[in-house]
Amino acid sequence: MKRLAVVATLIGVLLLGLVVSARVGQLPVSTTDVLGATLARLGIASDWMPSDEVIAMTLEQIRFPRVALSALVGAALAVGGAVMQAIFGNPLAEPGVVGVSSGAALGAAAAIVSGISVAGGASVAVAAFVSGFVATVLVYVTARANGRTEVVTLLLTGIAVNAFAGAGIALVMFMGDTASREQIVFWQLGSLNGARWQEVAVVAVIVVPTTLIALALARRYDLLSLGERSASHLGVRVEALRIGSIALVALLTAAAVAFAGIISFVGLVVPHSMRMLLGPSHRGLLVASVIAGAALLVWCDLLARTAVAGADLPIGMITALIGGPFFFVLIRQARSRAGGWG
Amino acid sequence: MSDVVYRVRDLVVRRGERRLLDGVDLDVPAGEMLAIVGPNGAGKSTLVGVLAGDVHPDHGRVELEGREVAQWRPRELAQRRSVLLQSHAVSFGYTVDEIIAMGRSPWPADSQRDAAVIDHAVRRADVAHLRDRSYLVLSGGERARVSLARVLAQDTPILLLDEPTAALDLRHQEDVLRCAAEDARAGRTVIVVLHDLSLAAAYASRIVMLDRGRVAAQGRPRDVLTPERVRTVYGIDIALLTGPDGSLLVVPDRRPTPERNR
Repeated sequence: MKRLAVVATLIGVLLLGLVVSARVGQLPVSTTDVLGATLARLGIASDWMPSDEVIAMTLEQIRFPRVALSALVGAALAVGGAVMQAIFGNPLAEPGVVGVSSGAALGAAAAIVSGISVAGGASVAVAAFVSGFVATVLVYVTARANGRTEVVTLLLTGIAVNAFAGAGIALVMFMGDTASREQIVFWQLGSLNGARWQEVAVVAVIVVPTTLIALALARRYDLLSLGERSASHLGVRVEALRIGSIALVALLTAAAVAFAGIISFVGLVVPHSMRMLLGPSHRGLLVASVIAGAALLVWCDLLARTAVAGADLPIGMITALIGGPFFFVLIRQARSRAGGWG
Repeated sequence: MSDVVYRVRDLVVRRGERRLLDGVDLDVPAGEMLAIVGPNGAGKSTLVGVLAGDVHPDHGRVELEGREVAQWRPRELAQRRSVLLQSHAVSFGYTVDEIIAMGRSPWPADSQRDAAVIDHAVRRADVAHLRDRSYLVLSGGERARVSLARVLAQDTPILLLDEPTAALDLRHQEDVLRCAAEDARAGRTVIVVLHDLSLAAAYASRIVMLDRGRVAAQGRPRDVLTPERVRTVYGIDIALLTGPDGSLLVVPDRRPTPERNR
């Protein structure tokens, strides 16, 4: 019952965020215009269709893709964080913190600078996935010992991976031209500015199926919380689950990073809050994280582009402002439990 | 003679240069309560790991119901044997109810049967009063009992218990072993690692004593637990007493050496 109430509230917050985001901006738009244009986009004719061409164009070309991308990226980050925490058995594991995001950004940056376009617009996403996957495997292999993850080792690994990826990105920037440099700078800050439908489509193609797969694995993630051996005694193929989940995390992170850059702490804050609200059972946790992650990023992006008139703040900065203090609290909690999570 | 559940032949497990298990032969018939005893580092947990299918033998054969353990699919194995490990760590704050329900996961969902099996397991492990609590706030002994309830909820014909009594108070130690012995009498096969030789003598139908990876002795408790053998394997002098119920009590002989020979 509580789960239903929480999910319903989250959906409400998300929908409200979607509508408000579409309305607010340099060109104010009425709610009916937003609804009319949405219906039109879905192929339903209505009386609310905006009469003004400029408004229709603004919604269609600028606001809708941006709002859609922020919702998708938020969902991807939150689910990626939840899956990562499930396989590490540790609530501090998050793609941004442990360096998977910057690893993926390194691949994306390299792809942009080198100008490779293997699969059209998707080449950036492919490169982000490959390097994100390598980073995830690296962190996993380093931070896990005897079936458990020490918090200290995990965070130290994160420092190492982040430092290396940072150096790699610096090198790539050094080699690139001015335009690609600027693009990379904005990645590292994270931004949803200039989102296009093409990008929304690429991200959606990755995020929707991976999220569904993660949901299908929810029960197994619960069993994994008992420890790898106990999970295998209950019939879970732990090795396959781990590798598959690492691929999921890399895909989700790459999808988020490829076009929106490094947006940290969403994968930390969202699953943790949902766990406090609903308990750790992964089915409910993942469903709630999808919606809450999307809602959080939609609202954060709204803040990013309206907080300072005429400026588009980097969204990564805003999520870090929220996530940083949150992270402190989590570390303090971990410390009070003698460094263990068990 | 009843069916053999586990057949182990010439089992060797290596870790680097060390042989954790070195030429172990063992037959476990159905319906037996077998205790594995031995000093620290004798290979007890490794043997349980091999029987559970976690540890792969470097040499020799380990068969479960006539088929090599490695040939079983994880899900099938989970419907045949359940395992209680020494460590009961859980990553997130699940409720006790959720933890115990995880024991049902190898079986096709059947809410009526699941509820009945879980209730039975909860009663036997004496954790009914903990059901709504978060696992993370429980004491070590409570966690051990909740884990036992989860293992019982798995409802398998074979139970592997690695030191189930380690964190438990006197009464719950007895409860757990009585419960295991009942299961054995009901036809299940119970293999339990124990440190307390008196407990092993009281509840096990057969004892296997390991010493540095080898079987030092196996047989009925009275035949295995002789003072000479315990001295050789454990390096301590013991006295054998008879308990009020006629069971064998193994206690260290703490008298100074001269007094013993009087």
